[in-house]
Amino acid sequence: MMRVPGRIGAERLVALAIGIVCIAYLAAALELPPGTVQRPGSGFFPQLAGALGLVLALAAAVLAPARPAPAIERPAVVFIAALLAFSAALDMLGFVPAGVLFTALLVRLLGAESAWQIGGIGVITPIALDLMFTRGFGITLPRGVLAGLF
Amino acid sequence: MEDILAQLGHGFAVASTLKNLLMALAGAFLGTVVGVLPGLGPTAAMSLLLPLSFTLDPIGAVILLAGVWYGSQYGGSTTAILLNMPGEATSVVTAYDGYQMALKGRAGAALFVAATGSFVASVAGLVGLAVAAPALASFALKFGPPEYFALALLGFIVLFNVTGGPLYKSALMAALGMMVSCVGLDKMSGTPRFTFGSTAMMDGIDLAAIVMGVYGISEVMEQLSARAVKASDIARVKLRDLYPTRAELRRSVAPIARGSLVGFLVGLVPGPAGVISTFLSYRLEKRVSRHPEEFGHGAIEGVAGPEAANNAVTSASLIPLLSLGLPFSAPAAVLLTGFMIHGVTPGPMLIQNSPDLFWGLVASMVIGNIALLVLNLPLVGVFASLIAIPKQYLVSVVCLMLLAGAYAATGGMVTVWVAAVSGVLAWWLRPYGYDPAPFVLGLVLGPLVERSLRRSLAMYDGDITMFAHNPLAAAMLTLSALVLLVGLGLRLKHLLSVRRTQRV
Repeated sequence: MMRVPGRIGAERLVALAIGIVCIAYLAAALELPPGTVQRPGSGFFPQLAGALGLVLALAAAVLAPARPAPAIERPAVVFIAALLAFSAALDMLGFVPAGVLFTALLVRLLGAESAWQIGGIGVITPIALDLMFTRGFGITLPRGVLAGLF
Repeated sequence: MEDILAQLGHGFAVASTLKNLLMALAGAFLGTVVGVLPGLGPTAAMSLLLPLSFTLDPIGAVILLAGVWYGSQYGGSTTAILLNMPGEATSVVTAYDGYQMALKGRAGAALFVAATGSFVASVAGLVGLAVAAPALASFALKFGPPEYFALALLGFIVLFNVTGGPLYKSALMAALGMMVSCVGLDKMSGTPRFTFGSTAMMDGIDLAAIVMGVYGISEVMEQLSARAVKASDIARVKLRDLYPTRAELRRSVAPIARGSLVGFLVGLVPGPAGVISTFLSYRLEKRVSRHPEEFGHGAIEGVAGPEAANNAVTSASLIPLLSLGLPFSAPAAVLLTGFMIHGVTPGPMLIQNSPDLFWGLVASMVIGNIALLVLNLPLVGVFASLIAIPKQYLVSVVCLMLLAGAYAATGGMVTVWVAAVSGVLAWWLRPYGYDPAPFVLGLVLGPLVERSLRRSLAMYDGDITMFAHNPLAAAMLTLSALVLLVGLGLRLKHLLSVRRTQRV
């Protein structure tokens, strides 16, 4: 389990992080032409939305209670790591190989112990999904290292 | 009225083609499955099907997506009654008395009343939809940009007040949604915004990918810590046990009627109408009951009313979506995306321009509801046993399907990253009280708010007092201010009473 210390308050840190995103957004929005009140330009609404977001994020930071962050449990950390690894590997490895690794890893780390179950679900799921998308719906998923093989 | 019946007849002809019948049945069946599975809601399932709907025509796609939505309302009650594990938030109230009935050996009667109440309320809601949507659409033809801006603002403010969390957090999420909606080419001037030179970003951030992340991946992540259910935990219900007694039936009639009305009215309001309607219906039934002490101990009224209410909501929620183009709930936002993927824009012109789609959808929902009523009761054991699927299989398969769907949405890696990152962020923010629904609605309604505000200012030469001179817009803005003030007042009162209690 991972915990964020609660001196400043995790909720306040979250609100401040959103506020920083709003500042960055607002800075980019200020580069766009705001137009006039009579003829609002493409920057008018983003600037309005960004400013509103910033004010509300600051309000959220001020009103946030100082309590520690909820614990992030191991399965969630494993899942996030597997999700990001899959997204990074999808284009290079292809859907089926990346999917086999992703599914087998998740099934194992989330509690399955039988090699047959891990291998079976890990292999069958990506192949079945690939066939469903490719043959059933005519949508080609990334082939990656298997390009040209089938 | 004759015109409505003639149009509905035409709708049945459209919905009765083999392909559309299959879509309605597939949607309703899938909806029941996701309704049974806790954590995987209709919004996630609908978003999962979005990329698959590319290959369908607009009518088939919308029928399929709507089927998942209303089908899930049936499925949610099954595990609530049999296992005290509501499949959906809208079935939480059903578990109060439904599970108590199951403990007393009346699970079959509770399931029968829940399914019948759901069916009656859905059909009653569809009658309301068929009557009200065309009338509202022809009224909305008079709306100009100021009215649309005022209506969207009213929708947001009502939503902020009913989501349950702090008002400023809901407003912040909606603002973030509107900020994201600005990414891509500005439709009015053609200027690229926040694209950072990437051509992949010119069309904006794909709504389907965000919905798949926010409602699909984040809900799957919630399941990681869910407790496992054994097949032996599930109560067996025989077909002959499904018949309620005459007294149970008599006691259910009025709650179903009242629940249908409550659900229909609440369904017109932005926000989590399904959940709110069930609590309101339960409270109403307890208040009007001659035996309020039975509630919580297996009162059949506590099952009949809320189950009718949550199903009427689905039909009513389609009224603002189909006649005004305004999705007031997350599933409605996904349905709107389904329309937009196929180049159909819901709004006042939809019923006039695409009568096949509107009336075909209404008729398909009647057919789908009949199928759900007929199939759900005999198959209740099969559906309930789905909850025993080990979470490691469910999480892995659903997640991989979502990621494949995200890729298929645009055929590029950007949407995969968008789905993955937005899913993790939504999951991370939820414990801090940041509800994703206002974010998604901000994202969906952002372009409408921007367009109507800019056009209003341009039309009236920058004079913002034009909202006051326009009677309809002024009325909606006044109502918005009143709702906001009442909401703030109630919250302040609650805060003061909490402080007073702490001091004592």
